[in-house]
Amino acid sequence: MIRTLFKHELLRTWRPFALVTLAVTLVVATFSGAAMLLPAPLNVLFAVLAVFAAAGYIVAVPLLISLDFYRSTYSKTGYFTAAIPAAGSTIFTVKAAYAYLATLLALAIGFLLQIPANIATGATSGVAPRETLAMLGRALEAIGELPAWLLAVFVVTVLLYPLVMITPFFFAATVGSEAWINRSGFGGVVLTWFLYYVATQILGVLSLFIPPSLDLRRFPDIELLWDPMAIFKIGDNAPVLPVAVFVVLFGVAIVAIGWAKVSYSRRLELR
Amino acid sequence: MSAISIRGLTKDYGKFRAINGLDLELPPGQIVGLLGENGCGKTTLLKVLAGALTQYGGEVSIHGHRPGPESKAIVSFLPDASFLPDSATIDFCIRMYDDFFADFSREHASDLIGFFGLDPSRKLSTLSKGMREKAQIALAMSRRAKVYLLDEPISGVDPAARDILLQAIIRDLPPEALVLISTHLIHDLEPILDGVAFMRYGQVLLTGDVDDLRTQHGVSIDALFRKVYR
Repeated sequence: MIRTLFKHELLRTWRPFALVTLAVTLVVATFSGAAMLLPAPLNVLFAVLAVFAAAGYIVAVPLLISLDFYRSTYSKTGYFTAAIPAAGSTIFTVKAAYAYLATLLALAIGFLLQIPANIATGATSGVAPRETLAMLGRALEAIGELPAWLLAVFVVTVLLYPLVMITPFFFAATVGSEAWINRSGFGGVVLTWFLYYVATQILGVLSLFIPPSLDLRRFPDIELLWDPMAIFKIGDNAPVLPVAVFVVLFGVAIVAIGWAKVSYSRRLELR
Repeated sequence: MSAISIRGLTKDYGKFRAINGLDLELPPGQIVGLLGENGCGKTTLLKVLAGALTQYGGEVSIHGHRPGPESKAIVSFLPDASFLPDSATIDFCIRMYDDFFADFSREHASDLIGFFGLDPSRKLSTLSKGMREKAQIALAMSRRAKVYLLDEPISGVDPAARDILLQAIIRDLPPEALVLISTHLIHDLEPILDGVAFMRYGQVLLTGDVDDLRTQHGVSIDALFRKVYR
């Protein structure tokens, strides 16, 4: 059943996924080309637009997949999904796993789309494409030179990031469709998303005060700072990473996706 | 064992009680009309049985299973609303049913699609309301299910189409299956019914075998309905 569920997730979503990918690729290519060919200030405008388009793609894909999740579980085709003889938790897990994988793929494609956008941005200030590529290469090499534990943290962060991106939408779709709020239809979903957003922002700000922070000023030597006010004392642009922000962000995402799973499997209400 | 057994079912929508302590026992091997005015709880009852509503009170059992994966494997549910993707073709929907339901018969589906004169390569978005209803009935009735829950399957179509839909519902129906059909078009449905359950205010008012009720009250089920709900 799990394989069948995955198959139908793919069958239902590959067309819009491919269409968005193709459209954004064309837009990034066109804007990057325009940035390299047109005179200032138009070249800067198109370079910025190319960067935004590539970044927007990374947001668009999880949003697209999440909208499909809502449509196929609570909206039009929700009755068919609810009739499938599989546990609600299984159906939810497959849908969330598929959305996670699609978002992870979108992150990789989004990274590739940033390359022409960055080449175009460099060209607007006289940097040759070869030099921009060399800079990107050096950035990747720097990641490879990180201490093993920090490299592991980096990999875990990258792997958890798609979860952070899909969770607000999945949480809003499921909890926002429960009996206590579903009389407002999609409004309940939007309200739940907004409350989730506000809650994560508040928790994010509070977690800035939780030590330790990573002091990267003498990178690749990294120091742990235990002063709760360190990030504020050192200054706005200082390379200091508040670890707790990431832990809280990932922790909230893991709890919320678990909550959403329970909501779909035990509190499903189709109206 | 009863095909459907319900004891003290309650279901609230906020402060509104849609089902109010409902009891119902239905044996297998019959076609039962679930009759009642609009808003009496027919659709809610079918949704609870289908597992589309999970927040309710009381005991619900389908062939001994609470609504869940086991019951869904033996229940074919046809909701009141269109529930298949607009962009899908009838052919794709047949494959989709075949993938998810072990009791689905592609041959029976093709037979019913042919019986309705539908082109399997057409997308659902290009079908009229009546044609779409036919396609959905063909899919729902092509499962070799033990219980069929059909919510207003003939509403919204013309009288001629109603007859065809009803013929499709009883065509090659497994003899041990229970078919529970909600409707307020009793006159059209009466010829195929074995039993009825009259609902009002979220409760069952009257239930029984149609022949017994006709004999007992000396009128048709349609006339009895009008008398009860006057």
